[in-house]
Amino acid sequence: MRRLLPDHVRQSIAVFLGDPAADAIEYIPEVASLGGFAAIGASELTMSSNDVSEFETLAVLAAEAAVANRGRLAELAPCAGQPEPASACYGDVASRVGRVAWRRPLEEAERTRLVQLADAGRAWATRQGLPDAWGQGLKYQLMAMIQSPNFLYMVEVGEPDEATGTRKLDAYELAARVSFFLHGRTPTPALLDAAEAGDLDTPEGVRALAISMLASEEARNAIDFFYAELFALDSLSSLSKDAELYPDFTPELTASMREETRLFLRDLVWERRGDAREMFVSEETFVDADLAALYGVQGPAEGFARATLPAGQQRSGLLGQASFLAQFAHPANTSPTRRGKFVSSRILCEEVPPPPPGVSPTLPEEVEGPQTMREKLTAHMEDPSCAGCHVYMDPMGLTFEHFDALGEWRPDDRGLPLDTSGESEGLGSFSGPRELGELIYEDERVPTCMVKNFLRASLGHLETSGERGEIRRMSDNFQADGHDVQDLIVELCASPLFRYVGDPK
Amino acid sequence: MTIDRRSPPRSAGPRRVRSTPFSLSRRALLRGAGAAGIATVGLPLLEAMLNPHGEALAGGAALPTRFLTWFFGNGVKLNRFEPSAVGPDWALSEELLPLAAVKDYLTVCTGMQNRCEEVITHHEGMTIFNGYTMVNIFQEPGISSRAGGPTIDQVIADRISAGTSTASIQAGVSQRLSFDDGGTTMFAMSHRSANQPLLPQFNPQLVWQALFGEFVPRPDDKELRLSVLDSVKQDAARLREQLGTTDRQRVDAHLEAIRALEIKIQSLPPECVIPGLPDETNPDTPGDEPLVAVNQIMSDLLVQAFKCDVTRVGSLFFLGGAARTVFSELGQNDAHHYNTHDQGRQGQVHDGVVFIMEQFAYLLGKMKDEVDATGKNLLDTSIVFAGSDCAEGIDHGIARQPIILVGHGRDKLAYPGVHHSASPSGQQAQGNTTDVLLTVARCYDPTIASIGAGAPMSTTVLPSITGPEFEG
Repeated sequence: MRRLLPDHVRQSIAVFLGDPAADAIEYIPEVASLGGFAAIGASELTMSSNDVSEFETLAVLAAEAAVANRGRLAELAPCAGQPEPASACYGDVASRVGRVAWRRPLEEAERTRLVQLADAGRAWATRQGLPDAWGQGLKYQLMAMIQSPNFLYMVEVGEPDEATGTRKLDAYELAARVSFFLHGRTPTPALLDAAEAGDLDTPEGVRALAISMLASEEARNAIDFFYAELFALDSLSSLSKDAELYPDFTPELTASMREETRLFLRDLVWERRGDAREMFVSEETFVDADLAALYGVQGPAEGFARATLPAGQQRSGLLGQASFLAQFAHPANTSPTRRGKFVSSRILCEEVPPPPPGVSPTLPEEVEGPQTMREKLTAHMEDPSCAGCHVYMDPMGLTFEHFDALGEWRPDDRGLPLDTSGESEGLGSFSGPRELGELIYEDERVPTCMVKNFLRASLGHLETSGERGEIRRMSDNFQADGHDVQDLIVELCASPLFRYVGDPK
Repeated sequence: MTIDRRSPPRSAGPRRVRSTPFSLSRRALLRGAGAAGIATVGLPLLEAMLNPHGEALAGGAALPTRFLTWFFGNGVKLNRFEPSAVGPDWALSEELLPLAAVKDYLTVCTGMQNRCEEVITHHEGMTIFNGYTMVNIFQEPGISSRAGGPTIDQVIADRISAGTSTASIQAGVSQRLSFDDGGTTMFAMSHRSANQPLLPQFNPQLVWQALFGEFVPRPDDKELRLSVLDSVKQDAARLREQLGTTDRQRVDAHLEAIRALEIKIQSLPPECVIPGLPDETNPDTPGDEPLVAVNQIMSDLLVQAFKCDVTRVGSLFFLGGAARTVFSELGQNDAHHYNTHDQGRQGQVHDGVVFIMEQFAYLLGKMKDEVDATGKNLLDTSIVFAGSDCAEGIDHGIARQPIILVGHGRDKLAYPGVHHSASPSGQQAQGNTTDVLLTVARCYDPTIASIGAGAPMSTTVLPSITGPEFEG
């Protein structure tokens, strides 16, 4: 059982109540992220009383807006578009709109209950002398629809499957899972019709659906959302930098950093359908005037334009972009450990254990003048209790030392020469960021990690041992297919991992 | 790598994948203004409402006591924080000096051992708020854990919130949370259980809405709202049948939350002037965080909420442990947490601790200024429990982790306060920080046998910090 994420709530309400209702919502409670993904937090944590209260508030706002702007309601239940709808229309709305909100047909008792709420609301509005008593009644029905766990949670319990002896998602559950993953919202009525007709009963059917859904703008937005979470782009909005060292740092610049990475990934995944691993080696990116100044390239007068990065700086794909370099740094200093840890955990899916008890996490004082980060972090590599783990982070992070805490290239560190060479277990040795990027490009953990991250975000759990075989199979196919992200997404949807579930937990 | 230059870059604008800073609509603003001007029902605790002795309400019900936890990440500088004299006659240390105006209400506990059984950096310090070792350690990527049991504010809320519209409120100030931590321990200071963190709300407008939004005048549709919730509860009951054990517990927690909303809907407006909607939204934009302004408005809201008796329990998360918060209002340029780990910046760390105490002092001053009809101020009728996630940030150790108590909760704690030292400065820590939790918990319910579990569990109170009315 997985709670809908805030974006899912808003975009779903747009589907069954229309854009004015979605736009009327002022605040949707956040879901705490676990394991790097809100989808996992949504599967494990509970709703607080304040969350439930906030959902009532947003239900009122959305329902009031939907009643005042009945366009979408009338598309789903035409009687709602009449000036004075008959009483029976409440039942029509409950069935037709409720089916989209709850991703399944309503049971008779559920429908009756919603109609009773609307009738009671209308009677109350009539007594109060409020205008549009019919609409006032409808408001309470819609509020109940939105506040219901049938809307707020994706329920994925499945049904026993005799062929495999496991549990298979029913057609509606599967339609919802695909729709929330690929379009970030509840299934449209047409998709529910297709599910009802059995179109999703076979892997081929799911594959065909996924391909058609990928063709729309919603899919691009949903994959933007995935990468924003994976690469922590949302946190750019709360970046701090030392104003004296970085006078060019502005809120607008962080927005540009974020947009650069979004455009870069869109170009790779959608426009060019390139090899996904190019994201670690590309010498091109997209810049606006501010980023062009930061990178030292010619920039466009307005908006973003494609740019080739200066070869001497060795900016290598995503890892040469300011969204990574500035974010995985401190306000006034770089953080080789943080940069290296990002590569380990998010790109290689290698988890680095935390510092052991009793270790001093203290940077030495610069008693004899300035030191480079490599010098300051010597203890990380020389003390065996540190090196056991830092060996997976610092060498990779130190290779980015020519990029300061904002991501700007520097020839040296306050006059001290920089050594960007290093060696990392599993990857091999490298002389600088470009070679590191190439090693990452070739590393077989990278495609598997991409598969895992898509699974974590779309299924809401960390991979289990029982899923390893299928993950390997998908990652082999991904490789054989030239690492095309769109094909990977299609195969993921069609895979047993997506269509089957474990016993109810 | 060749890149096809034929396809131009997409010109679509950035998509909002995160909700923009929330701001209540003009309509709500007008309602809020209306509330401030029109919905004034009475005054807080009129003398006419008291019994002849002024010790209880005329109906016999006890007068309210309140409880608040206050959190700041990354510790203090022990040699500049721990007072030198022990017992009732003690003087403020350098880092406690900002609390001078409430010195009589202050009890400081030092030299104690936080007995958390696991050490994963920073997380273990949070045990001073619940007496449990963390759980789910490293089950997720990153330095991750979840809280091992309910925090003290929730234990107390379960006992004293009856009759209020909001059982407890969680407010936060700095949103620059840790990048390196996972799970929930470091991101919430209030937890009902391992899977029920109560995240702080960083937007003052939303804190206002949670506390006072219900009392904005509107057509009385309470019965209909409750009927809607009845329907929702039936949906939950049907859903519950299909689920396994863990998810059933989640549905049960949801049902408990619905019950809390029912209580709120049925609550009568408080007999006080409802504060207007604050303008401050604490926008999370790059640059400087408005820590001072947000702390003030959050503190004001908590004080108003206590005064109006809409809630009796709150927590304020000033800045997170291992957080990215920069004290730019102090002229600092690097994160306070980063400074704590730099041997050469311990002077800045001290300045940061003094700044934190100054922000804490704003709340305490407002509580002291708020006097009711019996002549008691909010520090007379409340206990505030403040602490960090470590003793000192430099090594985030949990030995000698200090705890600050303010207020005596109607003479349950000592007044004037004391300096309780379990072990002299610079020596090995003694005792158990959870003893402070148990002592405080018994101020609200003398029958509570223990707090916490395992090594950090406590069954022992600290008599030296209790007051004449303590019954535990």
